[in-house]
Amino acid sequence: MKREYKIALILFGGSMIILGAFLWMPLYLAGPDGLERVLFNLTNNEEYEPSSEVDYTAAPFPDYSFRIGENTYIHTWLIGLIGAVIVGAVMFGIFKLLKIRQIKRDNQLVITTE
Amino acid sequence: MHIGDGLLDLTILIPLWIVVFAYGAYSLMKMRNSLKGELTPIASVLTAAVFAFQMLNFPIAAGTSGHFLGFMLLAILISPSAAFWMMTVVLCIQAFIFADGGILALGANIFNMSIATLPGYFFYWIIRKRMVKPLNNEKSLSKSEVHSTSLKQDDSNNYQDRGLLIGAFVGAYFSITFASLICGLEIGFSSSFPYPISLTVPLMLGYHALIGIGEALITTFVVVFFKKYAPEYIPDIQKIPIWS
Repeated sequence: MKREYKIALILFGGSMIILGAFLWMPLYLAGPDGLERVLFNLTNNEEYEPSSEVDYTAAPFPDYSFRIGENTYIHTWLIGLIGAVIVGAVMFGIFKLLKIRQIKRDNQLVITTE
Repeated sequence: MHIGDGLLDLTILIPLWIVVFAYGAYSLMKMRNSLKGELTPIASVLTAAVFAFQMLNFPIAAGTSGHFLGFMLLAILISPSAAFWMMTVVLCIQAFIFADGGILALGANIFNMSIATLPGYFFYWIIRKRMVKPLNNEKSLSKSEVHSTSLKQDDSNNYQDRGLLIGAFVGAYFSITFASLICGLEIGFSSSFPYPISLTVPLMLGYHALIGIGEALITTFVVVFFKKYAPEYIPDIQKIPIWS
């Protein structure tokens, strides 16, 4: 296996282990983040949600949870894994596409020069 | 720091979308020229890792949590232009698949987390650049002293390593601070949220000053990992222009 693939594998495995461990640990906090806290403090409303016409329930995994059944930390980890695989695959596809286009462009330049 | 729909009005959203499209086109050109083929798997997995790390909510104060942002890590290890697109992919997937952050507000979120964070990269770049200088001076001096060359080289390498780590820490810290400042300004100026910037900016900066420490620690930790096990994948600062 090429070195860059080895490093990529270690990095992916490592981040998934860290995610699993962190979600399991009591340190994990699903409370409001910095921006949400600012909105809650200013509006004096702990459940403040800006009104929007966009339907959020249409997302496959709204708020990082499965639509059916109870969501435990293992489910959240599984969603993290699914998300990470999707993100990695999309990014890999974009990079490959850019490389193919660049190679084609370079080849065209060589032909034109010759 | 994901802004949901309904918080920002169109007078703020439209200009931000325009800036994002313009900068996106510019960074696509830059990225195409700078990205090496062997970096593809590492860059893809790094993007996936940033997505995973963004799910980690760590406590900061009074029941408030913070999460990793990741732009600086990607900018340090790949390049700022590539980091823009990597963050854009993460934010798009978070918005469309996980309903995290608004869809209309996606332009604002991309701007805040991939463009407003750029000053952090400038801090990193300046710190690393300054920490590289003594190496060059010592190199020219050590030519006359053959015996002390290797020792001085070691010192210079340590000095450069320190520059990398300090730059990563400081850059990551300031990247999140600048992003929160811009986010505070946006919601303060928005007519959809009836609170002025005199309230939104200090609060945003206050919470994110603490979250920035977590951001800086995670970024430095991953950079240390690369420095130890895969130093060849950390781009040499002398070869990277600041607008790469």
